[in-house]
Amino acid sequence: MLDSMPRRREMAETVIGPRTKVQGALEGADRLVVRGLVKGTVSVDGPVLVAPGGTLEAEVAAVEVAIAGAVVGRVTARGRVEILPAARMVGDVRTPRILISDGAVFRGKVDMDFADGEGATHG
Amino acid sequence: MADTRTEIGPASVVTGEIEAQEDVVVFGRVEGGVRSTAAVIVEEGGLARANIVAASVVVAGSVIGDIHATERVEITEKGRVLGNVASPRLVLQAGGAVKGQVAMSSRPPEAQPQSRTYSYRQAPGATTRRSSTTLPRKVVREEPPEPQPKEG
Repeated sequence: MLDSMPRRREMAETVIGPRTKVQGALEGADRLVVRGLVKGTVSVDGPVLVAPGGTLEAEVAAVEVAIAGAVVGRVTARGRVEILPAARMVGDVRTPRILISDGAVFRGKVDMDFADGEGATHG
Repeated sequence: MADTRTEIGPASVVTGEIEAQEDVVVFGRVEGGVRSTAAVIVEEGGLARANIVAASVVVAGSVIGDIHATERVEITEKGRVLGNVASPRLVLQAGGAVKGQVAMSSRPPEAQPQSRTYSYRQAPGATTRRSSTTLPRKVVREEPPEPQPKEG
């Protein structure tokens, strides 16, 4: 797990297992770990981790997003985004802080013109 | 492998369909449907406003919807089910509650017609019958869909 993420014990988790598919809207305040497939929209007031093997085909809004799996969709994180070495991402990212690791495959726009905790100043 | 599972956390809501080949444990809320080839467990404090189809189902929280299990359904002391339950085995612990049709049949859910067209469907409060095991299958299927009082 990433050092930047709150430790597991401090926060309850929603884990989408490797043999699970969720189609629809997932929202909440628990840390989200995607090991399976989530299609739709994700809105989490906390961290989101797409684990290796996990797939997220969704519009994502969260505080922190760490990607080690596959993501297709737009990611908006008011804290930070980390695209890890195993990540395969297609989609735009809006976040004040971003880390793209060596080895990651990423195609999309990055918009860091984003005040912490504030909404967009322009589309 | 039985070491992985899906958990919907206590502060999470899934609006849509969950389909799994592993256990699904609901601490939060699911609105829509849940299908699993393994177990679906609605924990105390959890709410599933959904139809649930699984091998086994344990309700310690609340379910508003129909439950179809191929193996067993257990409703614990704090469990509440508002909907129909179809399962070969049913355990209703003291304190638990179910309101709806209860059908204990050994036929798998896929072989049965949708609950809306069950010919024996009656208003809540009517006596439960062991329906599909006593009626020949074709009689049930030929029954024209009648407007039935909605339950749940």
